[in-house]
Amino acid sequence: MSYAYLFKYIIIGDTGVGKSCLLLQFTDKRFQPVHDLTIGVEFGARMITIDNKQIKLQIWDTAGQEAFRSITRSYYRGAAGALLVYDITRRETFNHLTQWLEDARQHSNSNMVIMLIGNKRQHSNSNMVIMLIGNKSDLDSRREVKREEGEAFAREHGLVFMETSAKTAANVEEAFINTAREIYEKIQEGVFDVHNEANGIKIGPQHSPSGAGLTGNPGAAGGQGGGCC
Amino acid sequence: MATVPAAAPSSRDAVRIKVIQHCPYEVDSQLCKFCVDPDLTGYHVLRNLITRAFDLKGDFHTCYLTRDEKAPESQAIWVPLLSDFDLEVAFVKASDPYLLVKVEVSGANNGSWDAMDLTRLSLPDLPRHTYPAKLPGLFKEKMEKTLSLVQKALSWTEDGNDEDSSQPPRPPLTDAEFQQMLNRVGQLSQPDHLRQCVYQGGLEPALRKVVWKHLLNVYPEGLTGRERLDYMKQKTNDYLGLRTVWQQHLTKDEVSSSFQEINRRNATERMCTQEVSEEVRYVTNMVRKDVLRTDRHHPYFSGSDDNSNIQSLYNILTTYALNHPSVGYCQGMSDLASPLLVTMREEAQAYVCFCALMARLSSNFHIDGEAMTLKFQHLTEALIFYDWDFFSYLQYHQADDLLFCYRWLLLELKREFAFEDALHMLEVLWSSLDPQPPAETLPLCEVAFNPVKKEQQPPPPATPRQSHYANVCALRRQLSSVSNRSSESLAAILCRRAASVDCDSGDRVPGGKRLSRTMSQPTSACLNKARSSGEGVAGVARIREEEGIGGWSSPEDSPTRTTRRIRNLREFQLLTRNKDSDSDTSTPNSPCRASKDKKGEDWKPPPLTSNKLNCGTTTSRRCFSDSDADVGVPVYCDGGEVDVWQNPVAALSPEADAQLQIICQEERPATFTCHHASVTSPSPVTNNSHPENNKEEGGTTAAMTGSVNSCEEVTESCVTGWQVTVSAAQSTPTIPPPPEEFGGGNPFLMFLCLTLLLQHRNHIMQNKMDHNELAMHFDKMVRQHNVAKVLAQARRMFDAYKKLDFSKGRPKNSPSPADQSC
Repeated sequence: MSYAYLFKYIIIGDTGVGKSCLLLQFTDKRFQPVHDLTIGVEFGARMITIDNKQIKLQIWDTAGQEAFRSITRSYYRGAAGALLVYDITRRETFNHLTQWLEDARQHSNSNMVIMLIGNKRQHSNSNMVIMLIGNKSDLDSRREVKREEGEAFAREHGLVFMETSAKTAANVEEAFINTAREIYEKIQEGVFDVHNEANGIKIGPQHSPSGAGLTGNPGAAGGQGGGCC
Repeated sequence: MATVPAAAPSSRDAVRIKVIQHCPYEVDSQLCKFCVDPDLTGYHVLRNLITRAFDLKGDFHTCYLTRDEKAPESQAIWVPLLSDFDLEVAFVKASDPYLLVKVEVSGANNGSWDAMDLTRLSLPDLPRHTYPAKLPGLFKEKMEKTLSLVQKALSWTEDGNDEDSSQPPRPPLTDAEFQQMLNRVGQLSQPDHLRQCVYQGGLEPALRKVVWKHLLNVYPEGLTGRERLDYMKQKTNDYLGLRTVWQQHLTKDEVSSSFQEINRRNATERMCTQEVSEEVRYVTNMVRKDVLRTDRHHPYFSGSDDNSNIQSLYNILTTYALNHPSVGYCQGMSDLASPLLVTMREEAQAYVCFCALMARLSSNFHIDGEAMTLKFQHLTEALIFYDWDFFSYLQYHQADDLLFCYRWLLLELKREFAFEDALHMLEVLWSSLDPQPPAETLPLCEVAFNPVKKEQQPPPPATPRQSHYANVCALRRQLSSVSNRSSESLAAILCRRAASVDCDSGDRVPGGKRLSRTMSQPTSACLNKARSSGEGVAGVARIREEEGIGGWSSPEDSPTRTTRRIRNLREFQLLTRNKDSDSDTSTPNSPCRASKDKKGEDWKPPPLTSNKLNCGTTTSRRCFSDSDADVGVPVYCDGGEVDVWQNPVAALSPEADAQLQIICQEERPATFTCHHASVTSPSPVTNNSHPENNKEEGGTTAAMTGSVNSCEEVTESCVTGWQVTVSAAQSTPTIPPPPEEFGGGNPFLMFLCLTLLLQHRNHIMQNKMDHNELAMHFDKMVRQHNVAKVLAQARRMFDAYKKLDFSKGRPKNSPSPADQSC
C-alpha cells in the first residue's frame, strides 16, 4: 500500500500498563485483555490520513520489564514518535516516568542535529515527539494518579498528554494520530530531515524524489528498481 | 489414478492433517497427526486412518476447520466433513499449514469445542454455503480411487514417505514402545534410546506426562517405577512445603499491611519483615500480572481470571522465584512453565519439571546476560557459517545483531509454534540433549525462602531488577556487526569469512565503488578491548610486504613468511594456517591471538557485501576488491593477488602448526558461493566464488536469489562439502563450536533458530526488507511456524553438524561458556 510517509513509533512504559492493548486497539480496533505478555519487542502497523496524506505508522511495542530495558533501548534509534504510557491506577508506573523519559531522550536519534533547522526541545537534542499517556481511564474508581498530575508532568517535560482507555478505545485513535500530526508538522517546518531514516521517517516509495538513493534507505526502495541504498 | 486437478494446491504435496478427538470432559483432547497424499486419500481412507489412530469403536463425525480468504477478520469455523467432495475442498482450502480435523464420537457433546485455540489458528471464517463450485472434477476423480491406492495410503508409516521431506523419521513414540524400554522393575534401561526415539518423532501426547520427566532430567539414574513414584511423592511434599512458607508469609503480610502506614518505622524487626515482604510483593505482583497473559488462548488457561490453573501457574512461578534468589522472577518464565503445567496437569509435578528445566535455562535470565550473549554469538557464527549471504544482508541492514531472535533464544522457541506444536518441538529439543540426571535428587530450591531471617539469604534480586540483558543488548547495539563480549572468535570468523579488502593492492573496482559501511568497526573495537584486557584477540594479522612480519612468531614457521601472493584460493587455503603458536601475547583461552603487527591494531571490518552509500553504480560488485579500508585481514583479489592473512583461530592451536588448516571445498555447491567467503579459507568456498550478486542492487537480484533457493539445499550441500572437508581429519576453526558448547550446550536450538532464519531468508531478501520489516516479519510469525518442516530441516542440519570433526576444528581454547568473561 502506498503512503506518503512512514513514521516509526515506539511504545514504552512499565510492564502491565497496557502498551500492547493500546496498540491492538489502535491497529485492530479491539480490546483483548488476554494477549500475550510481550517478550522483547512486538509490532503493529496502521495507515492513517493526515492532511489528505496517507501515513503509515509502524509501531514497535516494547516489553516493559526492567530486564528487557536494554533491548528496548536499541529500538529507540530511528523512532520519530514515542508513546510513553503509565497506568492511572498504579502510582509507581507514574513514578517511573522520569526514568523512561531519560532513556527515551538519551537513546533516540540524538545525533541527527546536523540537518536540523530548529530544535525546539530544551532538554534534549532529540526531536522525537513524545506523547504521555495515562492509560486505563475507564478505571476511574481505582485511580491513583490524578489527571492534573499527568498534565503537569507533560508540561514540565514538553510532552503531549492524554488519558486513554485501551479497553473502551477512548482517546486511543487520538493519541496515535495526534502524535503523527505533531511529527507531520515538524516535517512541514523542516525540523525533521525526512531523508534520514534515523529520524524514524521514511518517504513513501512513490513519493520519493527521483534520487531515492539519497535516503540511504533500501527498504523504502522496495518498489523501485535499482534504487538501492 | 487421480491426477492433479488444476484447482488443487500447486504442488499437491503431502497434506498434513492434525486430528483432534474431542473429549468433552478433558482439557486435553487427543491429538493425532499424519501426512497424506491428497491424490490418494479419499474420505473413507481418512476415516479409516482416524479409526485406527484413535482406536474408535463406534461411529463418529468429522469436521474440519477452515476460513474464508475474503473475510478480513480472523475467524475460524468448523465445517462438516462428510464426503470425498468435502475432503477435497478441505485439502484445497484449509490444508495450509495443516488440515485440522475434529473427531467427535457420536453422541458426544460438542458444546465447548470452539474454545479450542481457534484464535491462535487465526483462520478466517468460511460460511458453509460458500463452497467453491469449482471442484466437481476433483470429486469425481476421488471416487475412482482404487483399493490399492487406499492400501498404499494406509501403509504410509511402514513405507515411509520419501516425497515428504518434512515427515519425521519415525512416528511419535507410543506407550507400548515406551513400556518396552522399561525393564521388569520399571527402570529405564536405555535413556539414550528413549531420547533417540523422541528426537526423531516426538511422543504421543498421552505419554508426555510420564516421559517428559525423564527428558527433563527430573529423575536420578536407575530408579525403578516404584522409586519414581515415591520420589515424586517426596518432591510433591517438598514443593507444598516451599509454597506454604511464602503463602503464609504473604497472608500475614497482607494482614499487617493495613498497619503498615502507621507503623512503618516502628520496630527493627518489623522493618526486616517488611523488607522481605517487599520482595514477596514485587515478585507476586509481577507474576500475577504475567500469568494472566500467558497462553490464555489455551483451553487450560482460558476463561475467567479465576481459573485455578492460572493460580497454579502463579504458585509455581512465585515459589520458584522466591526460592531461587539468584534468579528471581523474570518475564518469559511463565511461557516456559505453562507447557509443563498443561502437560503435567498437576502443580507440584509441574514445579518439579520447571526446576529441572530451569537448571538448564535459568542462566538465560541471569542479570549478567552471559548465557544469552553466548547464544547470540553462536547463532551469529552459525549464520555466518551456513549462510554468509544472508548474514551480510542482515549486516547491511543493521539487523545482524539478530535481536529479533531474542524471544526465540530466551524461550527456546516455545512461542514460535502453535501450542500443541510447541509441545512437540520442545520434547524433540529436549531429546536432542544428552541425559543429565541429577546425582541424587533434583533440588527444588537454591536457598529456601525464609521470610524472617533475611540476612541468611543471598541478596534478592534488585527491585526493580537490573537489566539482566543489558550486556547482551548494549554490546549488540554497539557492535552492529557482531556482538559479543567474547567476540574474538567471531571476529576471527568474520575476518576469515568476510574478509576482505586489500587496500594496498590497488585493486580498486572501477567506478569508484567504495564500501562505505564499516561493518565491523565495533568488532575491531571489541578486539582492541579484548586485547587490552588480556583476553586475547582475534588477531587477524595482516601481512604486508613492506611492513614485515612482526606478528608472526611461530617458532617453526613464521618469521620468514611474510607475504604471499597466490592466485588461487586453494593455494590460499593451504597457506592459510596457523602460524603462530607463541603464547605470550594471548591467553590460552583466546581463540585467536593478537597480532603484534601494528597493522593489526587497525584491523578493520571486513568489507561488506553491500555498499550502503555508493553502491548504486554497479551491479556486480566485488566486495573484497574494495579498498577504502586499512584492512588487516585477508585479502583476496579477484583473479589477482592475495595477501595472506593469518588464520587467527588456527594460530592458537599448537598441534595444528604442522597441519594445514584447510578445507578443500571443490565440491562446494553453488548455493554457498558467496563472494566474501572466498577469503575465508576454512569456509566452504570455491575459487570462482566471486561476487556477482549484490542484493541491494536491482540488477543483481537474480544472481542473489539464484544463489540459495532452498534451505534444504543449503543444508545438504553443506553436508557434502563438509564431509569432504573433514575427511582429512583437518578441521577448520570456522565450524560451529562443538556440541557441548554450541548454543550454550543446546546445539539443536541453534539449528532450529537457523532453520527459521533460512526458511525466510529468500522472502526477506527478495522483498528487500529492512531491519524493521524483517523484525516485523518474524514477529508476525509468532506461533505460525510449521513445526514439521522446521524440525525436519533442523534435524538434517543437526545430524550433518554432528558429523563434523570438532577435535581440531576449533582451538581447544575456543570460547566456552566458562570462558566468556570479558
